Amino acid sequence: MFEQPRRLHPAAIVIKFGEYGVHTVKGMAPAFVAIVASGGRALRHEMPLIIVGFLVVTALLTLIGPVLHFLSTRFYIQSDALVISSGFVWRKRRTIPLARIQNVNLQRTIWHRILKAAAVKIETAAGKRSEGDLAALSIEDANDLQAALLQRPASQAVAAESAPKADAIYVLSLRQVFLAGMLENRVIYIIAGIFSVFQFDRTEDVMRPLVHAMNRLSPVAAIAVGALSLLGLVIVGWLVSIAMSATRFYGFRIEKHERGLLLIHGLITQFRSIVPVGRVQSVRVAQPILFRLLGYCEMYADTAGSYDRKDVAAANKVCPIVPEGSVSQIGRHLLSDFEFECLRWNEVSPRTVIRHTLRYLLLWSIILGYPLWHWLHWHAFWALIPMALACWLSGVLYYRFVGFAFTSDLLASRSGVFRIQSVIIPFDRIQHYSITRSRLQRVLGLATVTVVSASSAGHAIHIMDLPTEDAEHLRQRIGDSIIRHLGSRRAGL
Amino acid sequence: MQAPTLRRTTDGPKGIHPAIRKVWLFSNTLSFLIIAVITSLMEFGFLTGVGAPWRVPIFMPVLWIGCGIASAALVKRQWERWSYEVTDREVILTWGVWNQVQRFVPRDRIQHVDITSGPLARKFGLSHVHLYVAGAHSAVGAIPGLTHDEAEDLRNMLVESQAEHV
Repeated sequence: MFEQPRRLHPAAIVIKFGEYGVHTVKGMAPAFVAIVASGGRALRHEMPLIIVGFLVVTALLTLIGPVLHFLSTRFYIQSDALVISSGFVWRKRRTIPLARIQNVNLQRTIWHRILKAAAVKIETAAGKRSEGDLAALSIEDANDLQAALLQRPASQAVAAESAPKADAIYVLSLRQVFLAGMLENRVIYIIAGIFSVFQFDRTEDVMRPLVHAMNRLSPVAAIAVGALSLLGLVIVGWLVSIAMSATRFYGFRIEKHERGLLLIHGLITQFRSIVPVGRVQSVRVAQPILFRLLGYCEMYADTAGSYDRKDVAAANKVCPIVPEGSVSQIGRHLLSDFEFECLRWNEVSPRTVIRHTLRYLLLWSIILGYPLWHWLHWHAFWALIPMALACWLSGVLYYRFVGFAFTSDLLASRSGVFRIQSVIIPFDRIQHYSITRSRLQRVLGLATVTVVSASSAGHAIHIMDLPTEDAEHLRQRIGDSIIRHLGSRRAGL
Repeated sequence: MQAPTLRRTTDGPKGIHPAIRKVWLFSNTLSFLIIAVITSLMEFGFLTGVGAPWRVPIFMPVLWIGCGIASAALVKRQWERWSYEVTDREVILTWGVWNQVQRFVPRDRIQHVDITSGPLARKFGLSHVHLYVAGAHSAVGAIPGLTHDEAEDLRNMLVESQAEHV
């Protein structure tokens, strides 16, 4: 049914206008703010006219692109390939063989929903972004196209879209959605925003009175005001973070899909994306310190190609918040025999503390050496004592959390102090592995084992500072396990 | 039974051709010289800019020529450390003087093999063999200093193993 070249849905003009508009505003905002801020006094009467004129001209210029895009874009399926031709001056014709298509995502922003349309994003294993991007199609066309591209009957696809919410693997409660927002804090963005206001405040209308007011206060009051405003900022950052998390993850659920796991979430823009389970190379479980204190973690799945990076706020995030006990519940659908809670973590050699201490001591001596010498001269050597102590402490902390584990199918490593991250790679997904020994490691009888999968995000397993004999045993075990799993690989990698 | 003309493994670790030392020596010298000249010019520019009484650059030439001599002294050790071995199930590459690395690439994970040869290596009749696996943007292993015959031999060995494992 897509043999004849077809146009996009007219909603594409609105959608593209929004996209281009955001880009234009982002690009021109600093210049605009600078003009308004620097010429604020001199052109006070003309200012509304300048602002309105600027907005109208920008809107008209921005509208040209979407209209041309709508008029020039055609798509059709020809001899087992999707062809998308676009461009008015520079014409482009992209051909994507159906067999190469890894994933087809439907996305519906609030504008799509108002205009009864859906965007179709087509991905192959090649790039980091979606290779085919159709801004808006009617919902029926979008479903039909998705079915045609994935080469399955359309009725099935429509059924899948409107299927009752029966087979959810994991659902986030509203409380958990808020918790995910509360455990992050976006205060840094707010501070950056405030500084950017001062940056453009050429006439110092904001800065000068503030400095004056601070100067008039007593030192104690100034410190109190400073501390209170910082506290206020943190609270605002927290609220912003909660609001962002709530709009993004509202109604988060993971469902089973014929091509993998389907993630559905979003309050304003609704995301429906598929994690292609067959291409999962490694699974990561991260526990930032606040998450850990409350018994939660985040889950990521790294694939050989990529799936839509904008999915769940960060690259390859499968779930923004999971209770520690439920990791395997999701993990089992990503990798077979995934038993995170049952992993027996082995320690590395305690000599790692010595290596850490020496390494960081050397590093900090180089960084702080000159300033300290400049300031304290020969007394600077006394600073070595607290520095050595701090480095030793950080080494002990590192040793406390680092570890590795394996079952007959999986290899896992864990590291980090404030953000503990475990990387899990199945033996049948290992591409190559190495044993590395630096000069200091050779003196201490240690070795590092590195195991690499084909994930494009590049999260390898690094098991640092194993005793040399243990490293050799582990190496043999990895080699044997790879051979044992030779016949069981699923995705041809 | 395997065919007598086509070997599947290398029968133990093999070293690389000694002529590679000359290639490394020459290319190291050249790159350190280029860095020395560029950084010396920068030093000259800096000294002129701050109006120093002494404008002839000393620090950068001494630093980089020193580094060049140190790297030249290590070339022999570097050559001694490099070895490769093709076993029944994996390719084992060993290299490194300061950081000693032993890399294992399972044979059936190898996606493709490149043989390259720069102008300098070509002059000494040498080639490099690069091994590629899925997901990596660059070669996971580059075996330097093989004669053209050795490189062809190794390529055939690895490509043949591909055909068997598919």
